[in-house]
Amino acid sequence: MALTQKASTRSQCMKIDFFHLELSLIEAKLNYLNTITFSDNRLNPYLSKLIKLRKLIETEISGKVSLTVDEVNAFKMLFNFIKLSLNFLDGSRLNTIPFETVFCLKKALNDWVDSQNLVIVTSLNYSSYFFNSTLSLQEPLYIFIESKYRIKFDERLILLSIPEFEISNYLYNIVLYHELGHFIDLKYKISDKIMLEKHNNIKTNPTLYIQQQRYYMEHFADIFAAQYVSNKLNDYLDFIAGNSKNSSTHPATQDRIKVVNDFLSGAENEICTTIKNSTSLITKLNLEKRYSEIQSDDFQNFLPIEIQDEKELHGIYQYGWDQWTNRGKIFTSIDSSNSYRIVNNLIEKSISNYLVKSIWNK
Amino acid sequence: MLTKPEIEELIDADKIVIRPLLDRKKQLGELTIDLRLGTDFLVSNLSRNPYINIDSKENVGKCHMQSYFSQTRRLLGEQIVLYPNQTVLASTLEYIKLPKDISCKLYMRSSYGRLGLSLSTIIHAGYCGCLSIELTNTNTNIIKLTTGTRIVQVAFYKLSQETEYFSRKRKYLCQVRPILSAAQNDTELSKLAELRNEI
Repeated sequence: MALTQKASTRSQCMKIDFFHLELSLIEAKLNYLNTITFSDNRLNPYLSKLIKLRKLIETEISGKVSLTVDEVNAFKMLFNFIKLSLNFLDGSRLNTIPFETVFCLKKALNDWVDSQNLVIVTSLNYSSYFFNSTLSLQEPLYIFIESKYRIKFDERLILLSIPEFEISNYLYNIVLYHELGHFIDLKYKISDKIMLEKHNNIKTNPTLYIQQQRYYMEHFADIFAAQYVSNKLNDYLDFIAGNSKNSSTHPATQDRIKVVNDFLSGAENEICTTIKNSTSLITKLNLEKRYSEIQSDDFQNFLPIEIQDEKELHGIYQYGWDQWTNRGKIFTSIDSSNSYRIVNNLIEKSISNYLVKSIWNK
Repeated sequence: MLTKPEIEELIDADKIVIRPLLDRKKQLGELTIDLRLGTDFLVSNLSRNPYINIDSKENVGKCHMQSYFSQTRRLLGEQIVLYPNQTVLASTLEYIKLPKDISCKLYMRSSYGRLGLSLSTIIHAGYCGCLSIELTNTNTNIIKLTTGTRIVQVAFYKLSQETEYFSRKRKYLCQVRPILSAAQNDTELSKLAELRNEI
């Protein structure tokens, strides 16, 4: 009995030691981030609140000699929250974030929600694009922090992760529209509601139910992206996973491509119709073409496009892809590598000129 | 050298393209157009490599030009600090395209020249891209510059005949951010290295 107690006490001390270690790591990162410029000013108050939260946790832990299981779990949750936030704040420095792409995504976000308190943040990883809903849609976390520490986080962070290798690649960055689509889907619980309405009969088979729901989530995000970037995401999908069959998380790539093509052409498609109808019903907004096809030979003449409105802003991605895939005809006597740089640079400058002019004319 | 009416005529005819031209009235002078400081920078810093070696690529080895500069960005209206004797590569906010028979020279606006910032760059006819601004603070004091301000002026010159910008391989093509020096890519450096070994 004495041995068990001794082991338990040692375990408690170890946990407290680990939490102090975590606090030190977090403090170093907070100090660093406190000196840099974020891409969005709304991240400054968010950071200040993280600093305050860390201090309160430190004071709380310092006064403890032992921790209950619930306390350990609560601290772990808080540390995960802070570390996840810091990871994405770090990736949202003005020097690292794909600023022009995020500007376009903000416009798309505004089409669907009141984005006053929503901040799109990014982090870099080594391999894939993905959306993480933790800091935008998991309200209990924020409620817990507010009730226990009296710290109210007004901002919600939409976490988008990007492969570091592709950070400045505007042609690949169209995938972020798909990831933003996941946020919109989860925010309005569109796939959730489709499942309850149409597939309640398979609820007894949780594996199948979850799989079907994930398929709707992917199809929704694909259609959401197609509203802004046409079928260009299809080409990317076909390239990275053209032969992928149905999996537990994703529908077969060719099925996804067909849904997008049918959405854009208006062809009859049951999945597409279900998603469109449910979205209209739930959000009072329509899934529809929200880009315009730019007719211009500006890139051919080595000039950025003078974007006139938000539809053209999103249309720049389709235009850029078309210029790239037709580079042989457009940029005669310029090799592929330079053609890519020209297209990528001109997409960036077209967006950034629109941004600058919109600020200037305010 | 072109005068204001001539420059205006070329802009209106889309022969000289400047995007964006935020305040044409204020930017267009009697002989020049003022251009603004862009938001992207390459700031020189001390490196573990003892010196910048402008030699053929083979001889330079690991001392890549990139190791002497750090990339940084500002929002429009934010400031950038220039320390005494520090070199900062910037570019104009405006993207320029010149016709085949017009070249231009880029100068610091006198208000900024008087602070100890100097610049003199020639831009070839047919050039397209943001213009490179190589800033060096020769003042003994630190200077803070605001992005988006009119910092340089460009004077245009009519050539006696058209030139073909793409007739030779270009090192800086449609650039929209400052680009590191590509002096190491100059082909004569390899030849000169060979000559050096033969002497």
